[in-house]
Amino acid sequence: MRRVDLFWALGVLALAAAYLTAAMELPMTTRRGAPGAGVFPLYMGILLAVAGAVYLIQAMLVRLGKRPVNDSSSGLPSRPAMVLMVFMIGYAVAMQTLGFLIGTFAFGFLLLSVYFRLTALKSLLVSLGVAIVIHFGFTIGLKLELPVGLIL
Amino acid sequence: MESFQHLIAGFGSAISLVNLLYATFGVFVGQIIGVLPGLGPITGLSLLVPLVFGMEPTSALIMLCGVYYGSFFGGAITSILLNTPGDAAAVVTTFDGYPMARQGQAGRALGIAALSSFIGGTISVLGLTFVMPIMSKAALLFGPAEYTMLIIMAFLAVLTFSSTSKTKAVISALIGLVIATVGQDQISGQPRFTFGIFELFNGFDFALVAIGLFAVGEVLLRVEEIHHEGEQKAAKFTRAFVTIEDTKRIAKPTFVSSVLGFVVGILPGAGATIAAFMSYGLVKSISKNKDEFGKGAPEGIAAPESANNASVGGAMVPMLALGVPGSGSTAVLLGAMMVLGLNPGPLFMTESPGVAWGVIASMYIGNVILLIMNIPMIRLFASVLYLPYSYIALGVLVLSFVGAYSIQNSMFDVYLMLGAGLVGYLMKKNDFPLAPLILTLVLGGLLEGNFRKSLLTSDGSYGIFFGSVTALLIWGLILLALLTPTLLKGKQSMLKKPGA
Repeated sequence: MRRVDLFWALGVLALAAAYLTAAMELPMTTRRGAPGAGVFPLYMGILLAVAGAVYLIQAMLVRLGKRPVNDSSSGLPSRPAMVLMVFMIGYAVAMQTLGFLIGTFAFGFLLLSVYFRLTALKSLLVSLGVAIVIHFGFTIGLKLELPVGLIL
Repeated sequence: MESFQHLIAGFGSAISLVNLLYATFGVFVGQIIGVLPGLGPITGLSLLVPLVFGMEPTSALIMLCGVYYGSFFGGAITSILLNTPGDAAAVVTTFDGYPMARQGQAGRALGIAALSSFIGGTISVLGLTFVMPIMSKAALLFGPAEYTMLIIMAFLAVLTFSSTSKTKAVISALIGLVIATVGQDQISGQPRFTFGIFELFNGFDFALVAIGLFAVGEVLLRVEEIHHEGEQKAAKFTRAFVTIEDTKRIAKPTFVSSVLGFVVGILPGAGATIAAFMSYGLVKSISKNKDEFGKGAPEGIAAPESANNASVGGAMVPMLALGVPGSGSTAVLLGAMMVLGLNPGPLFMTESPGVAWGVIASMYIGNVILLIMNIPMIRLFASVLYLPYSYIALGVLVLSFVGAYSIQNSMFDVYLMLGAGLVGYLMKKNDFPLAPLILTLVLGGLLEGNFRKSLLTSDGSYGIFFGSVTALLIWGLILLALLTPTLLKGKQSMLKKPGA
């Protein structure tokens, strides 16, 4: 267990508390006296709370002990991963507004040239190839619909 | 005899040109995905599930099954050339595969892996042909209470065999169950945890969550690793071949491991990884060449490869006959079957015999395709290893976005998939296993439905879960599932160091 486990254990407990609160607002029995929509979520919420508590106790016991295992490796999100996440959110917005073809080309070019630092020519060719092959492969080959964009 | 007749009819369907093409495509894609480090059968299946909407069920399943067993062989290629298993099941192949490759015999190692995978796969499909009908008939005795117990048993087995913290595995499974409760209640129609968001009324599509967790989450984790450690270089590739001496040496270990792999594959939660470890240990213990293990022994490649491929057929038995998958991959396959309008479970063989036997027959053919494909094309699959990860990341991400969007042609789903990707990344980074989450997500609705039906028929008495011989038998199996890992623990720790 690492220090960050304390943080995640509290997160699980918070999730369990929120879920249980919402579950208790659901009916526990039907008009005929059968188990209602809230019974199963109630049990799941209780189990999640118990598991979260066990996790918290385990994390706390390790913190009180001599030395946490693997404490040097953080379990929190790293910068490269979060930057990529921002790129992906940008891709989703571009896909929605500019359509799949242009959005994918723009995402691919920026991802390869800015994030992975490939040359402009390589980035241009690969992103153009990926966008065209997947667009036509899916729309013509598999007859699937892809976003056409809002502003074009 | 009846099975044999159905199988012949199944071959009639499987050898149609369309289905042969789907099988070839599935095996091809499966191998490519298996080769990509970190991506395994679950990712491959998750990415392809959105594409099967509207497809003819037999063809769709033939393609997905091809991806499933194709990716196992792909995993062996990375284990041998890169010392990096494509997924957990291929870990054992690195013990002898990579040392053999380092000795300049990568082609020989790949040839042994291909041949033993083919034999393991074929023996397991034979087992599937004869065991599945028997299990389907037995499953007709199951009522809602027995099904509830059976699903719980599958969950517990997956949790107890989990290699990480058991607490984390339980939390992962419970999060899957929590997600499964979002949407309209299947009995009363009452919206649950939707917070007035219309798109959540139908709940979370499992394919969406699977793509996010496994594909996007993996890319996020991988770019982080590359940022810190740089990209690994693969061993030099040489032409695939197997000598007559190798064939003689691997014949017995391959057969023994195939049978063991099939049996272990049937057990919920055990799956390919346990099968590979157990077969390696067994073959090593009976081998005359114990000293060669860990240094490039042909038996050390043949045993795990035949076992993990044989476990595929074994894992299909409970999934098709009971409708209860025992692993993350079969959970995704089960979800795909539901999407296709099929009803996996005891009635599957009688309601959809054409589909069931067509798929089984296609697995025989798929294994042959896998072997034939690997002789001339192994260089092509191996060449994927030499691609920069930036290209792979771009391809996987674009396919993930397309897959998520095409489920319901909704951008909302794309954003949900991104959220699932972030959750998957954080879970993996913190050693939370993802297989329990996807298994419980797929089976959550079935568990709740059977649980509530049981209580309805017993007027709320929990005694129904102990009220029949079948239920008591399942209780016995649950105890066995809980105890088996403890018994295996000592054995496995001995096997982790092959030189020891």
